[in-house]
Amino acid sequence: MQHIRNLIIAGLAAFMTAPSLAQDHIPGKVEIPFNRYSTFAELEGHLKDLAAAYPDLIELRSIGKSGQGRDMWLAIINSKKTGPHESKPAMWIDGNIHANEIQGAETVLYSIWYLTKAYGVNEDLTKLLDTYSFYMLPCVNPDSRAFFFAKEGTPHYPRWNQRPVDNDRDGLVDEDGPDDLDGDGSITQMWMEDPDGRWRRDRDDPRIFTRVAADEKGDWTRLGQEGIDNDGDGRTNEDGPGGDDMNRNWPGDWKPNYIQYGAGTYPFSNPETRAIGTWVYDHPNIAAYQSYHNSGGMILRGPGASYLSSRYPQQDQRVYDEIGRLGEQLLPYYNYLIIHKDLYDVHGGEATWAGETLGIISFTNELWTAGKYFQRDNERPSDEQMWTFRDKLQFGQAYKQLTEYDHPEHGKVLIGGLNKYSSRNTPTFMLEEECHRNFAFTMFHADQMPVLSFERVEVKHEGGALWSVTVEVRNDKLIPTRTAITARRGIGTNDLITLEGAEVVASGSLANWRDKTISEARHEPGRVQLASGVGGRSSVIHRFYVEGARGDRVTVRLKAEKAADIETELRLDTE
Amino acid sequence: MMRFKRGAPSLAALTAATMLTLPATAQDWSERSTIGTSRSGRAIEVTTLGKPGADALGRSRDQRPALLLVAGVQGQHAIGRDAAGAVTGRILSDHRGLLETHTLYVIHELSPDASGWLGGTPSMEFGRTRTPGDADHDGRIDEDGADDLNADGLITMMRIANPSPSSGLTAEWVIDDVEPRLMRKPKGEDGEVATHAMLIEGIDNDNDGAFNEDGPGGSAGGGVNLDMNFPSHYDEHADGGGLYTTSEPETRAIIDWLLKHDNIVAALVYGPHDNLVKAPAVGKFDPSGRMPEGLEKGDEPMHKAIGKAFTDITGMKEAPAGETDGSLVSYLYTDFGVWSFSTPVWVRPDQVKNDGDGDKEEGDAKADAEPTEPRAPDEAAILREQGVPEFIVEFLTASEEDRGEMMAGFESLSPDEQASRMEQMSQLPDDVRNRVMAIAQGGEDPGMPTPEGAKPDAETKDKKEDKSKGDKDELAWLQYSDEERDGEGFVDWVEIDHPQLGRVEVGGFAPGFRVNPPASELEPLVEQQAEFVSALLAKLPSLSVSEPEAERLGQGLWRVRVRATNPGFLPTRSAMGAKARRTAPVVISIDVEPDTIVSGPRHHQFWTIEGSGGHADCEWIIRAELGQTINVTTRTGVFGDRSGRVELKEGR
Repeated sequence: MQHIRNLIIAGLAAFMTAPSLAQDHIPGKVEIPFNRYSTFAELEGHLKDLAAAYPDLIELRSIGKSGQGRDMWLAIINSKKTGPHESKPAMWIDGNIHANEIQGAETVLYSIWYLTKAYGVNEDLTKLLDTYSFYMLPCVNPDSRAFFFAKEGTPHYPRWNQRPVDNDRDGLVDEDGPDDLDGDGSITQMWMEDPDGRWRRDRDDPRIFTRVAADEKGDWTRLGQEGIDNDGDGRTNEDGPGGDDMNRNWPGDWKPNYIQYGAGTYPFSNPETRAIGTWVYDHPNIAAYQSYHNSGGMILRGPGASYLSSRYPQQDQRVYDEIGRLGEQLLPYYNYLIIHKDLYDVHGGEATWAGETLGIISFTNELWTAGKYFQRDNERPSDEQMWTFRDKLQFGQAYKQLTEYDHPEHGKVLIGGLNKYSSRNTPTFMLEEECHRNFAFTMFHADQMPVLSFERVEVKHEGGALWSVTVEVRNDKLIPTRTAITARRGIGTNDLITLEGAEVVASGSLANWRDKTISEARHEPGRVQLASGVGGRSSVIHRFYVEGARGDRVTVRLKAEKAADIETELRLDTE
Repeated sequence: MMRFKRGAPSLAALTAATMLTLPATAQDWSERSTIGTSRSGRAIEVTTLGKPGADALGRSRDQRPALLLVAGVQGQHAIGRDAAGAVTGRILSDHRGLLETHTLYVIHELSPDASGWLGGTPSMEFGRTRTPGDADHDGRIDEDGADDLNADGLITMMRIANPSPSSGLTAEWVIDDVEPRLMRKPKGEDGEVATHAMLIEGIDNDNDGAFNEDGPGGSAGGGVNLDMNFPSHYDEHADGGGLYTTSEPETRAIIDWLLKHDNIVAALVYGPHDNLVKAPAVGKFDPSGRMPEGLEKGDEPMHKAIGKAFTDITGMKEAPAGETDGSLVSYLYTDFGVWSFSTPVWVRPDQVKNDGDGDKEEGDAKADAEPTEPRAPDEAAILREQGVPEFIVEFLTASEEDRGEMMAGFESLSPDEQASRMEQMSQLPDDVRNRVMAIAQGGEDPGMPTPEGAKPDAETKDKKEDKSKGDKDELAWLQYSDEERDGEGFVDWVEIDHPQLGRVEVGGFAPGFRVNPPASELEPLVEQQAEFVSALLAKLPSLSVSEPEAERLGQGLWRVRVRATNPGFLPTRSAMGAKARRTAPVVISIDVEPDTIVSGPRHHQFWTIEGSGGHADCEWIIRAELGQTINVTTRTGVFGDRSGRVELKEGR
C-alpha cells in the first residue's frame, strides 16, 4: 500500500515537473510582469511579496530613508543553509540612481525574482547562490522615481534627487520647474510659428522639425521644454525640483560643484548615497559591483578621469576585460568601454568609487540602445527608421501629438513630441529580454568571485620533532581575493594563512612544488599575511615547519575578506 | 633632570578667568551651542559672539558678516585651543563695538578626542582622533603604538647604535659632532658611515618585525588627523586620512554647520601651520586643473594685505609653512569658498621681530631666513643676455594663466605682425625655441636649461634644503630650550635595556615643546591675537544698499535706481569664492509685474563687489502710475536680506 502510494506520488510529481523541464520557463511563487514599469510603490510591493514567498533566500531590509522619507530597500539574497551572507563573497547590484533611467530598477528586481525562483530548480544558479550572497538594491533614488511616474518628466528628467537646490542662484529654491501644460504627464517640446524662426516643419511628416541652413529662412521657433516662467525672471524652467546628481556624490575623486556639476555638498551628503556607502563599508565581503543606468548600450568601467589610470594595474585590467568582453556577447549592441576615455570625466561616481577607492571589480551598464530598435547590424538607425519603429512597433505610444495651446507668455504654441518613456527607456515589450540579458551578465560576473580550496596538502617528517606541513590554496575563479589595486594601495585587510595546534618555528611560500627553499615569512611564521592574496585562477603554496609529536593534530586556515574562509585539519604523520 | 610640563593652562581655567569676569550685560552677547559630537561622544561646541537680537538692518547674529575662528583640529596644538578660548573673552570685553555689525564664531576644539594625547600618560605629541585603525592591514586594530620605555611619562625617540642584523633595522644616522644631542644624516661624500637607527620610543608589541607601526603615538595607525580628512586635495588611502574623505563625525559636524552659515565670509584656523607670514603659492592646481593648491591669483593681493596686518601686530617673521592634503584650511578656501587664514599662534622667539628691530633689520631678518641659499638666477636677465626678444621673455616668465592670454593675443595680431614674430622666433637659440614651442603646443614647460654644473637637479636641491633647514631648526629649538627654558624642552639621552633591541638610548624633544609656549607667554599672545581678530573683523566685507530713487522720464515711464556698496575692506567674495559660486550672488530685484519692465533685468545679479567702497548699480525703466510705490528687494545670501521702497513723484 505504502509502496503504491509512493509510486502515485512519484508519478504525479513527474507529471507536474515535466512541463518545466520541457521548456526553460521556471515557475515562481510570485508573478511579476516584466512587460511594464513599476512605480516606486509597486516596486516596494513586489519586493515585499518576494521576501514573503522566499523567506529562506531573501531578507528585505530598509537600510535608510530617502530625503523625503521613502525606504531604501535592500534585498539580501542568500541561501542561509550554506552560511550567513557575511561569510560569503557578495555582489552588490543597484539601479536607478538617475531617476529617469527607470529600467535599472526593473533589471535589479528581475534579478532578485529570477535568482530566487531558480534556486533549487536550475543547477547553475543554485550552485551560484549556495556559494555567494547578493546585495540588491533596485532603486537608489526613490523620491525622483516617484516623481517621474506621478508627475511630469522627460526622457532626461528628473535625473537628480529631490533635495531642494537653488539652481539659478537667485536665492529662491525650485521655483521655476517645467510645467505639464497639456496635462499628459510628460514634459514635451513647445513650438511657435515665427517668421524669423530657424526651424521648418516637414511637409510629409509634420511631427518633424528641421533646422534651416544659415542662408535659408524658417518659420518656426523652438521655445524649449514645456513650461512657463513661473518666477517672472525672463527665463523658463531654469530651477526645477532638486537636486544633486547622486552619481557624483561618492568619496572617490570627489570634486565640488564648480568642478563636477551636481556633486552635492560633500561625499555622501545625501541620505541615499550615505545609506549605501555605510552598508558597503560595513561589508568588506563585497567582491563584485554593478550599477544600472541608461542609455547607449555600454558596459563601463573606470577610471573616471585620465589621471587615475594607475588605479587599474594590468592584472586587474585583464579581469575587467574578460568579464566585459563576455558581456559584449551576452548583450547585443552593447560595447565594453572606459568612462573617461569613451564617455566623459566623472568625479565622485559610484562605480568608480567601488573600483578605484575600494578596489572592487565594478561595472556600470548603460541599458538600451538605438541599435536594438531593428536589431540589424547596420549603424545607428536613421531618424526615419526610428519613426517607423515608434509608429509601427510601438503604435505611436512614445509620442504625444502636437496640439495647440494658449501660452500665457507666447500666445498660440504647439506642444508635443516624444514622451518621458521614449528614447532612453526600453520599450516595454522588449523589457524582459533586456532585464534577462543583463541579469545573466551579472551572474557571470558574480561567478568570478573568488572561491578557495586546498588543492594539495602534504605533511612530511623532517626528523626528530620537526615536521613540515605544505598546503596549496587554489582560487579557481577569475577575481583574486585581493585585486592588484587593493594590494598596491593597501586597501582593507590582508589575507591571513595560519597554522594552529603545534609550534611553528619557520614558514614561507614556495613558487611551485619543485621549489626546495621557501621564501621566508620572517615574523610570526604561524600567522602570515598575504598582501596580494590568492590570485585569479592560481594558487599560493605555503610551507610551515612545526615542532610536534607524531599524531598531533594541526589546523591550517586561510582567512580572506573577499572569499569564504577555509580550513583543514591535518595529522602530523606520514601516510 | 627638568621635565617639560605642558605650558599652556587648560582651556577651562582660561575661560573661567576671561569669560566669567565679564559684566553681566555681555553674557547675552555670547551663546554656546553644540554642532555635533566626536566619535567618542564628546560635544563639539561653537560660541557665537554678537549683539543680541536684530541689528539696525534687522539681521540676527547668523545674518551678519561673520568671521569663524577654529582651533583644536589637531590635538597637539594646545596653544590654539587655549588662545581661541581666551580671544573669545577678550573680544567680548575689549572689542564689543565690532560685534554690533559683525559676528564671530569660535569653535575652540574641533577634535575633543584628540586633545588628550599630549596631556595624557604617557604624554605624546600626537594629534589624531581616537578612531580605530589598522594601518598595517594585519587584521589587528591599534596593536602596536608607542611605549614609554624609560617611564618618564613622555614618548620621545630611541637611537640604536649599530643595530644588529636580527633587529631588521638599518643605521641611517650619525650623532652630530657639534651638538651630540642631535642626530643627522651622514655625509656620504666624505666617506662618513651611518652608525645609528632611530625609532619612536616603543617596542614591537605584536612581534611582526615592525616598531610602532599601528597605534597611537606610533609612526602610523591610531586615529585620524582631521586635517587630512576634508575633501580638498584629499589623499586617498593615506595613513591618518581616514577611511574616506569626510568619514569622521567631527569633519561632517563642522561641514554641516558651515553649510548653514553662509554669513561666514572669512575664517582663521589656529593650527600647526601658517599661511599669513608667508602667503601660499599661486598658479598650482590639482589634477583636474581647477582647484588651486595655494591661492587663486586674484586673491593674492588681499591675502598678502591681511598677512601684513598680521605680521605688523605679531612681529612674526618666520613660521612653519605647509599644509596637509585634506586640511580644514584648504577646504574653507577651495570648497567653502571663503578667505581662509591660519597661524600657529606661537613661534620660537628668534622667529619674532624684537621690539628694537627697525625696518632695516627686518630686511636683515629676511636675509637671515635664507642665509646660505644662493639667489635663483634671474631668468629674465639670462634670456635677455641671450638676445631673446622682449615678448618671448615676457611669455616665458609669465604664469600659466597669463601665457594663455598672451597666446590668445598672438592669434589676434595682424598677419604681418604674426609673420614678424614668427621670424624672430626662428632666430631664437634652439633650447629657448623648443621651450616656447612646447608651451605653445599645450605641453609642460620644460623649464630653464641648466648651465652645466650651475646647480644640482631640483629634487636633490629640495632634499638638501630640507635637511639643512631641519638641522638648523632643531639646533635653534635646542638653543632656545637651553638658554631660555632651563633645558626643559629636551630629554637627554639615557641608556635603557630594550626587551627586543638590547641597549638603546631614549631621549629627544619633549612632546609638544616645539608647538606650545610656556604659560607665561600666553597673555601677550592672546593680546596679539585679539587685536588681529578684531582687525580682521573690521576688514570683513559688508553690504549697504541705498534707498531706491525714481526719476520720471515721461508719461507713465520711470527710471528706478539703487546702489549696493561694500563698506568693508575685503571684496564680498574672494576670487576663489567667485569661482566656486557656492553661495548665491547678491540679487537685487524690482517687485513689479515683469511685463511693465521696459529696460533692465528683473533680477540684477552681482557675484563680487569690491571692498573699500566698491559698488554695484542697478537701473530699471518701468511703466507705472504716478503715486505708485515701488519695492526693491535685495537678497544677499550672505549679508542678510532687505528691501527698500520709493513712491513715484513728480520730479526726482
